[in-house]
Amino acid sequence: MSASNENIEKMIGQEYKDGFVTEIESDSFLPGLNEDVIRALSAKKEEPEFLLEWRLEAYRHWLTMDHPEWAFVNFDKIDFQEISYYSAPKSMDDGPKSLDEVDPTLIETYNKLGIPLEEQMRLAGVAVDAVFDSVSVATTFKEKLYEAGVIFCSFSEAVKEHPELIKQYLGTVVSQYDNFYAALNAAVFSDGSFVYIPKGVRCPMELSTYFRINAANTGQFERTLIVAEEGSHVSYLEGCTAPMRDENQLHAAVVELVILKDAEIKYSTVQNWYPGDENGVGGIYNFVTKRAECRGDNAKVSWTQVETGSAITWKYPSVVLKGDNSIGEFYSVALTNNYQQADTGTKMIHIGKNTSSTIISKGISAGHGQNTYRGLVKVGRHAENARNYTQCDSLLMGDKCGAHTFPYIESKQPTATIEHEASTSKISEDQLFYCMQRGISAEDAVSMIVNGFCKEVFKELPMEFAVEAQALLGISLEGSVG
Amino acid sequence: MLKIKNLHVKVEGKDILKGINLEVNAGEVHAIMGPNGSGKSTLSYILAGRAGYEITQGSISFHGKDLLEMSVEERAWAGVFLAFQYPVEVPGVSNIYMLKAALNGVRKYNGLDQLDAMDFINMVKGKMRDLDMDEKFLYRAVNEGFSGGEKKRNEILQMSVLEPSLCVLDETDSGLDIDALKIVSEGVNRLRDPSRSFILVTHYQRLLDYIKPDFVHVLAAGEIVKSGGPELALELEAKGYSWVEDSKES
Amino acid sequence: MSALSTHYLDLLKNVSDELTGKDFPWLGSLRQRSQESLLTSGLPSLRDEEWRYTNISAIEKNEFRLSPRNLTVDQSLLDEALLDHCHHLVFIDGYYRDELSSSQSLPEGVTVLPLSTVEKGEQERQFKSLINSSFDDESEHGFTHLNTALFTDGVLVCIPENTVVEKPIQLVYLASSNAPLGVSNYRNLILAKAGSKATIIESYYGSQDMCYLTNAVTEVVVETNANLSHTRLQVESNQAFHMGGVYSTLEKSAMFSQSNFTFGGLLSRAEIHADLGVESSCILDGLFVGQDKQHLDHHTRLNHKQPHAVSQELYKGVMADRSTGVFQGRIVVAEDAQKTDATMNNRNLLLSERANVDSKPQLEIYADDVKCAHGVTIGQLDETAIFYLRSRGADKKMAKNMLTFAFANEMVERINLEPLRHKVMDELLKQFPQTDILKEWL
Repeated sequence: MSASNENIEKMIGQEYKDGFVTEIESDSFLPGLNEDVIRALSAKKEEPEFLLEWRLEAYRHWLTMDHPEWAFVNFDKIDFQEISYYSAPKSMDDGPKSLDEVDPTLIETYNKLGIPLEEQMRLAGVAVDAVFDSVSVATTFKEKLYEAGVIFCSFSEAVKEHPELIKQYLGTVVSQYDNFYAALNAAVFSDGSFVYIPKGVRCPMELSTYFRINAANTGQFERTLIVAEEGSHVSYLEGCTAPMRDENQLHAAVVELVILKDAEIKYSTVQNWYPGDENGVGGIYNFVTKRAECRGDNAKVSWTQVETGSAITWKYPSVVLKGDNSIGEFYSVALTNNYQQADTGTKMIHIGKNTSSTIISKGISAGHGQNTYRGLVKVGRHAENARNYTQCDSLLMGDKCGAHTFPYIESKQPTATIEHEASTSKISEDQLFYCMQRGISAEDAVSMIVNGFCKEVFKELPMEFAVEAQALLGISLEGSVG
Repeated sequence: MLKIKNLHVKVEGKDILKGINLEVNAGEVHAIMGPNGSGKSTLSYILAGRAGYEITQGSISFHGKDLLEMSVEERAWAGVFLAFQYPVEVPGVSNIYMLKAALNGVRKYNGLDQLDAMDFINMVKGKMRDLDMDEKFLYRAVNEGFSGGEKKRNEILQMSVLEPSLCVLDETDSGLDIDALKIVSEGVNRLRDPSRSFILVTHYQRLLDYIKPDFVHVLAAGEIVKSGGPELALELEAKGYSWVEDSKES
Repeated sequence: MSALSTHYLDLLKNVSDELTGKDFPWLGSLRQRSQESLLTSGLPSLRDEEWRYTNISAIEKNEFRLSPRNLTVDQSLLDEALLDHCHHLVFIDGYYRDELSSSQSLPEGVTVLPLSTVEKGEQERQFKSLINSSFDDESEHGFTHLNTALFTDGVLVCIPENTVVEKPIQLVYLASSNAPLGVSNYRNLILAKAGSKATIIESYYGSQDMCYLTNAVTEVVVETNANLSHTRLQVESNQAFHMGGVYSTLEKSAMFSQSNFTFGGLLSRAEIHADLGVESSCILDGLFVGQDKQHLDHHTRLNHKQPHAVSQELYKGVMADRSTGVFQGRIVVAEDAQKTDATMNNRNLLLSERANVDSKPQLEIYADDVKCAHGVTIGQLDETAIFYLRSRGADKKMAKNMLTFAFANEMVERINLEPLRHKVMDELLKQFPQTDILKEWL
């Protein structure tokens, strides 16, 4: 093995800095899943009849489905009967009216995670809908947003206060029958975010959400729905973190975005779930269905994500470009280290005329990580003048990891222009030596080069996320050289 | 400042340097000439600390410290600079970013404060003007898409920003036309100083017309077979390397 | 996987009865095993990942049968197929036809034999060692099993060490118009021993509007420092079905260049696989041009198992009318294959509203010190270029034809062998209306 391989070989992530558990009384269901559990869940949340029926339909369909097989991802079978489908911190039973009423232990948790609600209230003015173990804790700035006409609340709250909106849009982008995990999610989703931006409104602040999984064996089934009415605009940030655990934890979320005429949604994610220790033990399974539908003309959506966590990631944020001139963008940095496995990518479905999509995917593989990009660019018969540009680059660090690219490009329209490029590279011994001879330590050199590699994606992130993302990448690759 | 004593180096099991002795004092310019395969580049890489070389015997001291004990970046901070024969491309990393990171590393090691951003940019731009380099190069990725001459000038730019005490130029003249050679040489000459030393590794005498050495050494088959003043270079030019090898045998 | 229809079961039985006693014993056992594999796997279906864009149910629905031997030949078709200045072996409807072939002047020691004439001894040994030698775990499927079970003929080519065969060896496979619904299974085994050099061309022709099935499997071994050039020219009938494959193994420092020109067939699929040894080099070129309702599928796989190998692949597709093009270019780089240099490009033009292209460029990389890149474009003709030609006097249609032709022609220009280049050029020109005028402009 060459000397630089030895350097790169020592690439082990730093201690997962968020590894801790909050000791709080939980009002949880016993493990197990059947119709009664769903009824109980729905009742606990005081949901209307239509929603219970929707859940049950999904559940019955889920029972008929097979677990998907993914070529490059290996994991132990999940026993769905061993998961508890509801867990809420006891103090949440009556719901807080303001931050002051929130359980101080919870607030302490958020402080540890670096999201002190008080500070956020004062400084950035970012509204935070902190989801803690399947129940929303506090929704900040609700009133301020409400003035602008923006609805930003927990999903559970939306069901109670805006049932007509939920009924109109729920499941219209990702139906209960879409795939195995979407069906499961539809049946047992616990909570999530609901955002509604009315006509012509530009949301005055960036909206963000923090998720956390706490109790063992509690699958997290989040459901998010964002509706951008004609001419509206919103930027939504999703940042996740989870505590250290020995048993694998399941995260099967569904995110639906509806973009109407002339509207725009920018959805950014920095994902930092526990990836498992250096031997591949523990870690979150992240199986997510995210889809955006550009229903109106000139609608625009961009998915930007930086993924460094999870033991296993299965995620294809997609865009259906129905409206003429609609635009879909996907910018992603995915890192797999130690024994992480990722099978991710995007689907761009061109249906309307003059639609365009851009895909920039950067994969970094280190340790024994396996990083697979799976993308679909599909141009329908009537999608005249569709344009797609895709660039997939892989950076390999060390010789035990793998980087795979499986794009599917399907075109039925002669006036469409599709360009796809992919390349693979490594940080060469020469590059490292060159930087070191200029006095830049190997670790800093690796960090510089990796950040240079990811630049195109980082610049699409909202500012504070970009900073967090760069730091996150650095931490994930720390201890790699020297 | 630099004392190389009885240095023996093996590469992939083969002996490349077989007992090098060399002393370079502050302010001196030494040229190391030799035929291909003589071990010239090896010597440069050894000074910079590149991996893949086995030092079987000998020592190198730099400013009184054991150079071989120091890591690559420590040597850089201590003042060793290698101008690469083939400067490496580092896509995604801009020139200005790398220069700043490098300079701050040196300053930190020497107990100095980091440079203010404005001062830094102005300083660098000034040096670029001296080297007749377009400012645009600052924001391009290191050496990416640069022509041969541009890459070499970039090396000299880095050298002038980092202000090292020992500059090792590895075949800097290779691939340069006469104009580029003049500019690069001027850049080097501007840096000559009583506290700074240069080791010019070169195959051809041409470079030495522009950068006048104080001492010339001939490296052949891993050993310094002859040393002399600048006139030695001219003799080599006239008679070729075999003359030295023959005279060594005799 | 779909279960075989009764017709195919009968076909299997009839043919194997016919072949019994005529084979070497080991061949008989091999065929038996393949039959069993076929019965287990069935023919490929849309559910198989490698076949997701190609529906072969039309093949299953047709009741193909073995053709009688020695039917009269379409002389004009044969004349069209034969290339000047080559050694020729001609096969009609699955059988070798000695009277139509000519391979007398081969250099000393070079073996070019129809499989049906392979004799006991050294030839048999070669045959046995080459057959099934270039398949790996993922290569085989229903059609390769069918081929092994039922092949009636094909060729055994062995080029001895350090021998250069100057004249190309052309293998011509014709489907005669007197054998409708015939199925011809050909097996070709090629060995280029160390330091040798040769050029082999496989030409597949059939009369227009004839429906038949050609199932041809070619296995190639290129030994150290040998240099083999192999071309497939497929000009089957517009109603025919063609399943073809070239499965190759390259040893240390071997050189292999493979080109595929696909113009015919209602449904055609060519699989090109190569296992690359240390420091070997492999060039894969392809051009497919689809019209009417043709479905043209090319699946390539480059396995870089050893370090320092270089591969370059360029496939171009032009789809007109309601045709569909399918392309997969898969590159697999194993953990030990450091310093691999692999580039793959697929460029496609869609000429009409109802034409389709599905492209899957795939990279599977387990080593880190490698240079791998791929690119795919699907697009249309450059408007500026069309304008430029029109300003020089070409009408719009002509301009488009010229540009499309130029796009495809890049692949033709790469052919070194002159007679072959002319032949392929002719075929290409046939695909464009206003051929005469085009020739003028060339």
